[in-house]
Amino acid sequence: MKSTKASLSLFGGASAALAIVLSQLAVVPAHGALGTAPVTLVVQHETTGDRPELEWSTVAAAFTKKYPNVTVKFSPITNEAKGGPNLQVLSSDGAPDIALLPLNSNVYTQMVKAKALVPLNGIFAKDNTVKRIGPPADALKQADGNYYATPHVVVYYNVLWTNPDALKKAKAIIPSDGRFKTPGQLINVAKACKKAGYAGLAIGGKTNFQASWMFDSIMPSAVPAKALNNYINSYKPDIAVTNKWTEKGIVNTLDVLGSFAKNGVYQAGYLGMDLDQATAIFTAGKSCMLLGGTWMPGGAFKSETDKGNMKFTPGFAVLPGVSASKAATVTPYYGDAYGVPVKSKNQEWALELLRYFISDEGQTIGALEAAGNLPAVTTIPKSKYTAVPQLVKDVLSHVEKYGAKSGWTSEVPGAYGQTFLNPLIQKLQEGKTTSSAIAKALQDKLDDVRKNGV
Amino acid sequence: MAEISSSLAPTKPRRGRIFGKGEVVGLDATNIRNAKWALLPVFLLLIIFLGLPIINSFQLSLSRWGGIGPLQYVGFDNYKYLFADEQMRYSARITFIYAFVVAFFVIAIATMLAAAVSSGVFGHKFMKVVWFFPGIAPPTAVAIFWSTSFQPMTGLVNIISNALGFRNDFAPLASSDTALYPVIFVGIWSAVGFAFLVILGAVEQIPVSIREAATVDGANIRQQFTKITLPLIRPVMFTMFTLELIWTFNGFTVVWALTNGGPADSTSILPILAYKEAFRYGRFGTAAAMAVIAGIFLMIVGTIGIRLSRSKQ
Repeated sequence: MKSTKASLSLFGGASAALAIVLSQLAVVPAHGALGTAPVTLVVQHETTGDRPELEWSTVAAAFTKKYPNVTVKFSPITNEAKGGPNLQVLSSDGAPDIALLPLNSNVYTQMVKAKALVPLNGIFAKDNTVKRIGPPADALKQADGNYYATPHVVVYYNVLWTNPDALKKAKAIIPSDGRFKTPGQLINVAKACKKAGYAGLAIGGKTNFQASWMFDSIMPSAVPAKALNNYINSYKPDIAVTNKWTEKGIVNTLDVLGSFAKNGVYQAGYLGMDLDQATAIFTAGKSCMLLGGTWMPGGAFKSETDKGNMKFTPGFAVLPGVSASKAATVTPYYGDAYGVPVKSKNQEWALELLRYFISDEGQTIGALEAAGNLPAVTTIPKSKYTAVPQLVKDVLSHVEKYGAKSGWTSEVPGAYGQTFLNPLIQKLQEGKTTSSAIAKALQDKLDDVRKNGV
Repeated sequence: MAEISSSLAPTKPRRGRIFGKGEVVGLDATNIRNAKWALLPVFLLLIIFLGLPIINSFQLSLSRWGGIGPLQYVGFDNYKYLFADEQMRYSARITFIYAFVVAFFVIAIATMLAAAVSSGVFGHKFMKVVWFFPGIAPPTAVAIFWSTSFQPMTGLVNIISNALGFRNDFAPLASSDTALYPVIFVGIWSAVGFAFLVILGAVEQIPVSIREAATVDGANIRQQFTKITLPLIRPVMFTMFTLELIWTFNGFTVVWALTNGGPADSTSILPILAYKEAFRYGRFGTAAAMAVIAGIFLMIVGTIGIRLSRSKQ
């Protein structure tokens, strides 16, 4: 029986490998096959966030210099559209050649399910991209063995940006390594800030993501690594469920989130504020901390400093774990990825542009130098990180020292993860549900997803 | 009317259709044929832009569909799911409350304003313009303005509240117990202008002689308003009420920009819930079922509204 299984598995593996090779042959043209006929490529990027317009315009300029017959046009889309209504655009005859595909969105889930994306295995194989990206590439690999999307930058969220001036006035002390040891420590800092006339931790509680972000950071401190891996993957029917959502670690994580709200850690009216409003409170010097990410120093912080509205240089800290024994970490996000829709009219050129975009050269001139972001690939020497803001480099050093754990809501489809969990945590923050009830709801949702699909 | 009909009637045997009670507007065979051809484009447009989407929505509501690929027929499962879903029941309830309260207050306020402006109160010309402004402001801008205004400490509402000696930490958008109130308020604020203009038009259509006669007969301003103005503009009020109800029921932009449907889905009115079902959860079938249910409800409301408006006329 064992040997039959082994041979079946061997046969399956060989078939998958053959499929990958065939798909590569099908989608990757020989270099000369691209031709010199004029071609216009349409590329989607987000209107805000980690300055993708700078990254893309630089890469496109270099690409069109190499291939003068190619023109690149941009089709900016909003943060709201990228995870929802964009699906209709990508599946239509007017689909762009390169699509923005948030990996935890319904758009990506449905596009993969419908095989509406061109496999990237060919361009990945040519430049050894999977190895260059490293372990995060594992999450990109689909059940059919194909890669359909490529990340372009890594951002870290769940960074607690701090205002040293406010903290000093509030006589609130943040641990020197930036790691709160217990939830109580963070609560005390927030209370001291409040007493001194500052808001504690500013968050965009109204958004459909910030409440569940913190879950991503704290949960890995409450469950073993193996369990975290199972929580991230168990929505797939072929993965056995080894850990239930009703387990103690999950309930403890939710308890911590509930205790933050109960003890007034956040600013007044946080559930009615979006992230921009929370950021404005912080940059105006009215809160001690802000829940944000590594796109902020080069974005909102820079622009507000240039305008003279932000009069301090922030520091940063990390959320506490559920107990002193295991700290929480910042959370990496590779999720705003790009792919080529099957409906693209210039698939070969689109693949070539995407290949250049994720090449070391493309990553250097685009992600690093033009946008000041951290590249998705690990093969670019740190000496080239000159345009990356110092604060982001500091966060990166922190990550290198203390690590960063994957966030559950970034890894699983939104319909099961972020979209489902966020309103439940908002309810918890209002004191209208309990941690156990949320844990049970998560388990019910998991059972439903495994039975009926996402 | 009878005279006019008979003068229009053909001298030959009538082959026309009957319109209304016993009235015959004569059309001979050629005219009927021509009329049919003339109406054909209208019917085609109706079929293409109304009939087909309705059929498509109904078909979608009987299917499971993630937004791409073939539909999977599931019968009435989506409807069963919706009727059993607690969030759907809650959303339906708050949508009715939201739509009826907004429509009622919009018409009430617009009528009072129209009566005041029409009676020539001080600054009536200025007020005519000012009250219409919210009606022409883009809904997203309106929502952003009010979302900022309701923020504690720094919001306009709290600044004014503080200046008047009250607390300045009022944050109605931040609680699921209170978030619907500012949503209703902004809904009324942004819709009054248009209704005001339409009702003002109706008020100003009332012949001056009627008011003058009432004044001569000793009717005071309140009596003139309740006994003359209101009865005469009632058909317009009913029509506007029906339209406001439908527009508010289907409203999305203001609520979405104000609250994102939160906190904790507390302001997820049906259009927002349908949006989330379709685009966030990838359940286009249940979203379409919601649209069908809402569509049937609004058709009933529309029919009642039209009938009431007609009967008053």
